[in-house]
Amino acid sequence: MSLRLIKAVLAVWEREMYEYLINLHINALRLAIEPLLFIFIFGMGLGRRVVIGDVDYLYFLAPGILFMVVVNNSYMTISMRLMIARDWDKTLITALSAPVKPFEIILGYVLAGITQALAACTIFLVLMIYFLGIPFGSVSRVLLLIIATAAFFSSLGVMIAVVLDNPHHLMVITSIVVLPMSFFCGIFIPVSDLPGWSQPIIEAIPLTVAVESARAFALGSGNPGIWQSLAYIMAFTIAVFIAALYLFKRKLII
Amino acid sequence: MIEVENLVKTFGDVTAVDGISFRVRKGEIFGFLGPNGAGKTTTINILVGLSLPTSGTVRIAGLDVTKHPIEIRKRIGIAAQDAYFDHHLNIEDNLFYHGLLYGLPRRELKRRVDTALRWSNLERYRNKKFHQLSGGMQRRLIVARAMLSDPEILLLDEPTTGLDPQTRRQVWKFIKDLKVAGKTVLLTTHYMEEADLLCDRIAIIDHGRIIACGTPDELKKMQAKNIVVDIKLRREIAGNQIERELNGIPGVSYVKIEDSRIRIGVAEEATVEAVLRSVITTNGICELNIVRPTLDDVFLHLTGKEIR
Ligand SMILES: Nc1ncnc2c1ncn2[C@@H]1O[C@H](COP(=O)(O)OP(=O)(O)OP(=O)(O)O)[C@@H](O)[C@H]1O
Ligand SMILES: [Mg+2]
Repeated sequence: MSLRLIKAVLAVWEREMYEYLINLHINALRLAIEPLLFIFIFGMGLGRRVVIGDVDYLYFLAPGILFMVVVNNSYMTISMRLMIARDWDKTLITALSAPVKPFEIILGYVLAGITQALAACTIFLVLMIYFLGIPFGSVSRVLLLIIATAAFFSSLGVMIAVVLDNPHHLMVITSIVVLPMSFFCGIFIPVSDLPGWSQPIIEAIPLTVAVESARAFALGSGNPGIWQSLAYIMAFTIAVFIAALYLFKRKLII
Repeated sequence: MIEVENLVKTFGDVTAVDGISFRVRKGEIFGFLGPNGAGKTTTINILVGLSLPTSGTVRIAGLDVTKHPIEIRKRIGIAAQDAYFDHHLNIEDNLFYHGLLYGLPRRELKRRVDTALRWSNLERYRNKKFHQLSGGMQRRLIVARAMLSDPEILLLDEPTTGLDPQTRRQVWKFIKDLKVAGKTVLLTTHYMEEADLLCDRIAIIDHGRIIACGTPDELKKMQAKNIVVDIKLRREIAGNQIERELNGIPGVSYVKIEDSRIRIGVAEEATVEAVLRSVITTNGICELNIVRPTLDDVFLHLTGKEIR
């Protein structure tokens, strides 16, 4: 890796982070309130009546919501930012007329997604662990899962935003693909409660892998094989990243 | 500095650039003069690697553009026709983050951002957003951003389109400064007088082809044997009857009618008489000039149509 490459990636990353920080009040509102609402309504309200296996629902739910925070702070922000950068501010074209490669631009965006997800998750974890006393097991392993999952969803955000031509389409895709993911991928209900035929498909989705691994740590139930989970998610990430890169070049360099 | 050979670019069944070749020498201002859709922007995009040629070769500073886009972009500053700034950031931040993409050290970059703001006379507006600036300020800023990396080559795509005459003159001054600073400039324009005033050499481009190339004087000399008859009539001309009639006279190369004014290019003196006779019988003449051809006339003669 050349010095120029590293500088270019960091330049894209820094710019994204700068914009994130000057809009921090808005970002914080949107990104912190939603998961906390879920925790309060489902975990502490409804959840008081629910026990899954022999586990309190709140304890079951919290690791799942953690990954909802990841999705919100990687896929949601990055896909929107990328679409703005391509169609409104034309930041992408401006960047491409500088000595920067598509690969470096996408990597910068993915790094920004990971950073933002890590920041939001850290706040969420602190609230959960210190204020609600919810166990999360090994925090360092959970952080690794967060990084891998954020990398996957940031790349996915880039890919989908590059393919679509219209912000409305982006909203539709988000609500029919990404939102259901959070309902089915074991965040609110265990995958084992879903119809039998759907289970292998759901289990194959990286988000499910991350949620279930994190939950196993949190509840101390079995050894989820952290490195296998990470490798699995990273394999998907690399595949989506390559697809995003290919589509990016095809769409922007005409 | 820039060598383009047989460049072709097609978009589906549209041929935007149809086999053009030209060279831009170091330190000159080279003008691309042509109407809407001529292929100017497409060519510029290919020069920076934002668009890939269908065929032909482009070399900049000896490097092939498809093989070394990064090396080439380090040497080029581009002021795009539809250049944008990020609406969420003020112009100073915009310049800063653009410069960062070139890997400039921070302190040096800050200094250059200050220089760019001073140079474009926008220091007072450094905290404003791009859309809060006037059109002329925006244009100056776009050129200033292109200068940020101190490139050897500047590509200016229609730097003055849509500006009022006074602001246009400011931008011209700005572009002349670039030449003084030793930059190689390729600029595109619709405006004849702009090309005439700024450019060392001009390529006239239409339908993706270069139809003439040379210094402004050379181009005008190509038409020197032509005579331009400029007539003002007593009343406005009705319909295109007169136009058809004039075009029917042998030796008339083009006719351009604007309200009560007719501009007619003729190849030889003998034709002038026929032209005058034809006009006098149908309309009265109230003003008559026989003039030297301008670049406008060159363009009219070569393409048979007006540039704007
Ligand atoms: N991305 C594209 N897809 C399809 N056709 C295109 C594309 N870009 C340009 N064209 C076509 O190529 C031709 C040349 O366009 P170009 O933008 O290069 O013209 P131009 O000389 O810059 O015109 P203007 O003075 O209006 O800026 C036009 O017919 C245009 O419709
Ligand atoms: Mg153009």
